[in-house]
This record gives sequence, C-alpha cells and structure tokens, in this order.
Amino acid sequence: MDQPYIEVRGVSKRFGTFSALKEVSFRIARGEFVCFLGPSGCGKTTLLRCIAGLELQSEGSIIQGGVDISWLPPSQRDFGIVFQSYALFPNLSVAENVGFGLVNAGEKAAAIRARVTELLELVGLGGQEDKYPAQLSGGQQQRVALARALAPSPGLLLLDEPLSALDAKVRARLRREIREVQTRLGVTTIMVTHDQEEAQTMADRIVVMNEGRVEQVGTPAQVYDEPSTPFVADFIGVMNFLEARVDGPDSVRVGANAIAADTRAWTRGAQVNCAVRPEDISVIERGSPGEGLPATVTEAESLGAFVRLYLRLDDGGAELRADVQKTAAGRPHPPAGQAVAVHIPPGRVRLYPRGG
Amino acid sequence: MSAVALPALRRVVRDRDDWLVLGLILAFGVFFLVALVLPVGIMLSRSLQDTAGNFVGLANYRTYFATPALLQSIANSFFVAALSTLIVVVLAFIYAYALTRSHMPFRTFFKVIAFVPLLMPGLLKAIALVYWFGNQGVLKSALFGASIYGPIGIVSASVLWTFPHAVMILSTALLMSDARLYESAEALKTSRLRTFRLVTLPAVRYGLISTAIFVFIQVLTDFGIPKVIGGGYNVLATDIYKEVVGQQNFAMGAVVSVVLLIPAVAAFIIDRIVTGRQVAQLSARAVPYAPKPSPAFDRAMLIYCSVITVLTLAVIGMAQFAAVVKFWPYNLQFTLAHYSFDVEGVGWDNFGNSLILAFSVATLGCVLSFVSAYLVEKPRHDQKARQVLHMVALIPMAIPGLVLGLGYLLFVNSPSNPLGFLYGTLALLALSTVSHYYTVIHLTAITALKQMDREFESVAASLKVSLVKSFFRVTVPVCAPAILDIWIYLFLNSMTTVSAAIFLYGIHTKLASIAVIHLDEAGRLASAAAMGMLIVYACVVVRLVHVFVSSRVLLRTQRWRATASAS
Repeated sequence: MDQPYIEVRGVSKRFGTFSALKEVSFRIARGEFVCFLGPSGCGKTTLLRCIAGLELQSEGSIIQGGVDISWLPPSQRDFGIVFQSYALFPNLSVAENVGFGLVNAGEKAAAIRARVTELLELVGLGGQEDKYPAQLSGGQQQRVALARALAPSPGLLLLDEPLSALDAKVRARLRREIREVQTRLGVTTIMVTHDQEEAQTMADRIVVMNEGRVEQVGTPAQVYDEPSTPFVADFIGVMNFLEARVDGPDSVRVGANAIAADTRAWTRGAQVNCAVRPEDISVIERGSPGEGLPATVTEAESLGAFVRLYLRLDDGGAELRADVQKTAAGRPHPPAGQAVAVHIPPGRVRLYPRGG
Repeated sequence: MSAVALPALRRVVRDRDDWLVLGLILAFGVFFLVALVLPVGIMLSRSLQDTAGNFVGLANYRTYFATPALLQSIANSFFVAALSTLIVVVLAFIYAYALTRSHMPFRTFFKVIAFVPLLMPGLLKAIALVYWFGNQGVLKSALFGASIYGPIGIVSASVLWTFPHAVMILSTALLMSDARLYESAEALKTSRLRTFRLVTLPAVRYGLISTAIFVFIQVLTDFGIPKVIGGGYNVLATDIYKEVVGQQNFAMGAVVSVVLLIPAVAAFIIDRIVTGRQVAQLSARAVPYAPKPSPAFDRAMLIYCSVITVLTLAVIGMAQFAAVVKFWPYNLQFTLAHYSFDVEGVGWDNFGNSLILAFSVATLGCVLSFVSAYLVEKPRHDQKARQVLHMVALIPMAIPGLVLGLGYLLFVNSPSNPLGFLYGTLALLALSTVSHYYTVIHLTAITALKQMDREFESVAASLKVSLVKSFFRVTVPVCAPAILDIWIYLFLNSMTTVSAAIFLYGIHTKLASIAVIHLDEAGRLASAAAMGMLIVYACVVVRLVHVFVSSRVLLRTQRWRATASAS
C-alpha cells in the first residue's frame, strides 16, 4: 500500500476526562471495504465520526486522498454516510431523499431524475420513487439511505451500524447486497459494526478496537487465525484460555501435562495463557494411543451442525470447550460424566503473556 | 526533552453554516441582553437606590419590612395563591381523570369546553363574578353576607382562570400511563382504591407538582384579577402597581418586585428539578391504558363535568349578557351602547392595538423561538455558547410579567439609554410580551426538535446541502404542528394579558386588556365587560381560523404521517 486513500495518524479523542480514542493509526487503500469492529463503547463510532468531521479529534490527523482533512468541516469533506437510524427525511419522498444532495449541486432536473432512477435500480428499489419513508420496511429504508449517500458519487462511504436495526434474515441479505454495490462502484468503504459475523463476511480488512485502541488490523482470516492480542482472540469467535508455563523449546506445561507448542519466542519458565479454539480440540477416548489430557465431560450442548462439549481437566480443574462434528454415522457424543482425553494439535496453539 | 511537543494548534475550519450559527447565537445574545438581562438588572439595582438615584444599600428593604401594610400583602398573596392552588389541583385532577380514565359520553365535548376559558382574559372572569356576586349581583345572597370583593373573589376568579391550564398538564400526565401496570394490579386482585393510590398517583406525581407550582405562581404574580375584584385586599402585584403608577415610587416598586421575584424564582427552580427527574418514566414498551366502561363511575364523572361546564358557561354567558343590557340589574333591555366606549382615552383603537400586537408577537415569537431552539439543539460547534443561550431562554419563566414590565419601564426611561424612543411604542410592547412568554415557546420548539433524528444535519452536511436549505426543506415542515401551536399560544396570551404591558403602553398604544382595567376604574363595568368580550370574539375567530388553516397546512406538510399508519 504505497499510496493509501485514507490515513489515520495518532488520532486521540477525549470527552472531558474520558478518552474515547487513544493514538489510533492505520491506513486504508482505495476501493477497500474496512470494518471497525469492537464491543460497544470501544470508540469505533467516534472514530468514524472523526473521519466524517462530525466530531473533531483532540489530537492526530486524518488524510484523505493525499489531503489533510483533519480540521475541515463535514461539508468540505468527500463522503456519503448511512446511519443505523437511516435518518431519512420523513416528509420527503424516496426520490426527493435520494436527490437531496443532487438538487444542491445544481444539476438539471432531468439529469437528477435519471440519476435517482439509476441509484434506486442499483439498490433494488426501482419504481418506489413516490413513496414516503414511513411506507417502506426497515430494509427498504436502509437501501434508500444507501442510495442517498451514494448519489453524489462520494470517494468514501461511511456506514454506521447500518444493519443493527434489522431482523436477522433481512440483515443477511443486505450484507451481500451492500458488498455487491460496493464492489461494483469500487467506492472505499468503512463500516462500523459490533457484529463479528458481519465483519467477517463483508470486510476486506477488519480494524478490531477495544477501549479506544486498535488491537489488530488484518483480513478476516488473520484476525481469526492469528489474533495478535488476547482481546482479539477472545472477542473474535470462541476461545479457550489455559494457564500454562513455558517448559521447553516446543512445549508448555498445563498442570502436570505437557502440550506441544511453539515457544521459541519465550523464555523458559514464562507464565503464559495458552489459547486454543474449540473446533481445534479433538476429544478422544481415554487410554487411546497418542498424547491426550485426561478430562471429564461436564455438559453437552447441541448447536445444530456440531456439539459443544464442556470439559474439566482432571488435573488442575481448568474448564475447556470443544466443538465436535456430528458425523454422518451419527455417532453419539460422550455424555456428561464421561471420562475422556483431549488432544490439542501443536500448530493450533497461541501463547499470550499472563498478567503480573 | 525535545520529544514533548506542544499540543498542535487546532486549526478548526468553519464553513459558511458554522459562521451563520455563530452569528445567530451572538445576535440572540444581544437580543436577550436588551430584552431581558438589562431590564431585570436595572430593576434590581433600582431597589438599592433612593428616589434621586443614589445608592442606599438595603435601606429601601428596611423601610419595606418596617411597613406593616406592605407586609400584610405578602401574607395575602401567599394565602390566595395557596388556596387557589389547592382548589384548582383537586378540581382539575378530577376533570382530567374523567377525560382520560372514564368511559363517560361526550368526552370530546368536555375536552373542548374545558379549554374555552383560555380564550377569555382573567379580568373578564373577575368582572363576570362581580355581576353574579357583586353588590348588584344575582346571587349575592349565596355568599351569606361575605363580599366578593376580596380574597373570595380573587380565589374564585383565579380558579376559573387557571383551571384550563391545570387540566391540560394533568391530562397529559394521566395519558402517559402503562396499561400493563393496571393489568398486573387487576391480576393480583388489587382493589380500585389501592390501585389508584399505588399505580395512578405515583405515575402522575410529577404532573401534580408541576400543576401546583404553575397555578401557585400564576396566581401569586397575577395583577388583573386582584385589581378588578380585590377591593381593599392588597396583594404584592397590586402593591407594585400602586407604588409605581400611584406614587411614582420606582424604588419601592422595585423592592416589592424583588419580594415577588424570590418565590417565583424558587418555584421555577423546583419545577426544573422535578421535570428533570421525570425523564424516562414511561418505557418505550408501555401499552397505553384504555378505560373500560363502569356505569356508576362514568355517571358520576358525567355529572361532575357537566357541573363544571355549567359554571364555565355561566361565567362567559354573564360577561356577554352584562355587555349588552342597558342598566344592570334594573333595565335588562338589549343595547350595543356599551361598545361605544365613551370614556376618555378608551376606544376601539385599543382593540386594534391588541390585534396588531397579538399578530406581531405570535409571528415574531414563532420565528425567534424556533431559531433559538434550533441553535441550542442542532449545531456541532460552540457548545458552551449554546448552553448559555438555553439557560438564558429559561429565565423569563421565573420573572413575573409585572416585574418584567417595571424593568422595561426603568430600562427605556434611563437617561443614557439610546433606546428611549421605544417607550410607548407597540414595538416595545411586542418585545416585552415575546420576552415574557419566551421560556414556554422555546421549550415547545426544543421538544419538537428533539423528536427529529439527530443525524439529519450530519446527512445534510455530507450531501453538501446548506443548513438554511435543510432547515426550510425538512425541519420546518416536520415541526409544523409545534410551530402552529406556538403561534396560537402567543396570540391568545398577547390578547388577554395585562401584566407587562400595564407600565409600557403609550397614549396611542393602549391595549384592549388595559382598557378593561381603565373602564373598571372609571366605574363603567358594562363597558369593561364589552371590551373584554371584544377580546373573546377576536380569540374565538382567530382560534377557528387557526384550526382551519392548521388542518390545511398539516394536510400538506404531514401527509407522510398519515401514510405511516395506513401501511
């Protein structure tokens, strides 16, 4: 990325004594679809509003297309925005909403009408020009908001939790549609969301945020498979954490048992948390060949395609979750109380420093 | 250490809209300085000066508190205000309860009839009471020898005058109830009385307190009613009038004003605290309560509302009757002679002045309050300045009209004031009236604006649409109902009010409501009733036109709302 389209440099934002953003920096390439992902209150919306100029950062700068826009008012920046509430003008028709920013640009009435029709076709709302927002469903309203934001052909599209107010089915469909429109127009897009599934399915890259800081920037696969901090590991997907101690060049010790792991970056005896995904754990019969940690099933939960087993390690009593596929043979999963062994493959373990 | 950089200078760039906002905020600063802060400030400082204008500290206050006659007025004022409050809150609560919680027939009729007295000046109600119970009154004997001139008259007229406002506040409070609480109470086999005590009363607690404070302050600070029907019973408001107009003692007038100002400010603060606590009482999931028929209760409520209606109509009917009979009570022949106003300085032009004033105040107040509310609610910058603007806009609520009027009088007549030429003009009367009602209209506009999505301005900015354009294209049409409400509120109040104007009118700008007082002072009670009825006619006509025009405007601007419920 030699010439980023958006560059955020050391942006901090304070509200009184509360720090909403702490030295946030990252870059976005032209045409990229980036999600800001994090729990509520992590600063992702504040960051989006700073990029739009709706809030002013306390420190740091924001560059768009090579121009420093840090202190420009929103009206002098180049973006379209869609809010969770849609913020459609209720007294204007669908066509008037979409054409709101075009009328101002001094275009001819016929040209505006053509552009409005084109945009409504693009978002799948052809023929709804004369309706009022209140006559549309939530999903349709969100599409109007999208068309309105795209109308002046902005260089940057900002989406502030655009799908949160919709029900699950509509949300899934709109995800694909938004992404399709974005790819077709090639418009650089930033979407704020607290829904990791949304981020995983839509984004080229994800900016994971927590307590005003950027935890990790990476592709969906990177943040899932190689979470760079315990927060990311825990926040994205489901993760088991086991307290462990670095034992040798290729293993850590959990209680009395050794688990194979790459410990080259650690000193011997270091206290670590050993993170492993439930789907990476195999649950095998006690006493079967190969390494396995003795454990007991405490509970089993059927989650559709797989079964989640809650396990307690016999040594030390640490809790673990393991997801096991329901096989075609319909082999019954071990019932609660069953003594088993768990196998953790070496390549699937990540280590994080343990506090203190 | 070179690494410690100085914080970078914030080079915030403002666009045209941001400058416009800043300019408007400053303009409002000047407006409130002239229309509120300076008059009140000068009034306050005048209470510390002698008649020659020398600073004398608290000497005037010492004189005041050493004068038993003046002190008696404090007790009198509080007594009539407290008694009126008690009566109005009870009567209005039952009435509002009947409107919102019973299944009695003709509820719409009773709702309308309760608000009819709003079209009638308080003064005129006092005059009607004189006709019913005065020396020549039809029902004089019903008072068993007591006189209507004095506390009885003041309290009765005040009750009639504040009743519609109280019903309005309490109905709103009673409508905001959650049916699920009542269903739970019923499921638990709670008795009706216990449900009332444990569910209904707590829910309307704040409404009751607000109503009580409102009525108390209105009655405490009112001037017209005690002037007409108070007889020798002095209250603070009439004392101010006597000191200023009778004795030309501005310093003492200012002292009494301060004495009146203190409880008004205290009540205002209590009310702000109470309304502050009220937020989010009703969750978004609440189910509106729908009353079920209950024959005995509904019949009782019907009788009660009918009685109140008869009383209301008796007052307004008597005022009209008195205005068109030759010589009450001896010659009841029909005549229009009382409408010719053959008293020095009183005439139809007073009525014309009132109309001009009411139209200008309503229109000016609409524009100002809506813009000031917008400036407080919507812009991104200048947060401190906007908060100050909001605080200042709340002040007028705490200042009695008469006190504000005295402040204006002292302000425009101070020798160094270049605005002195305004004295006696309709412009000054309009300014004082807008200022007097500013809090209510500002808050109405704020409420309307709060209901709009807070991101409209952000969207408009992102679309490069100017603030002015989105204001007129979206904000104003969507808020049309509130703007129309503000307009009629100001019109009716400007027509009927006396208080601030009594010190500010000139020879050519006397208002109809002041003419009523002068006719009453001159002993021309029938003419006073006739002048009062002119005000009523104007209010009725304008109100009807307003209903008609509103329905047309709302049809156009609110079409989208209708479709929302239809789909």
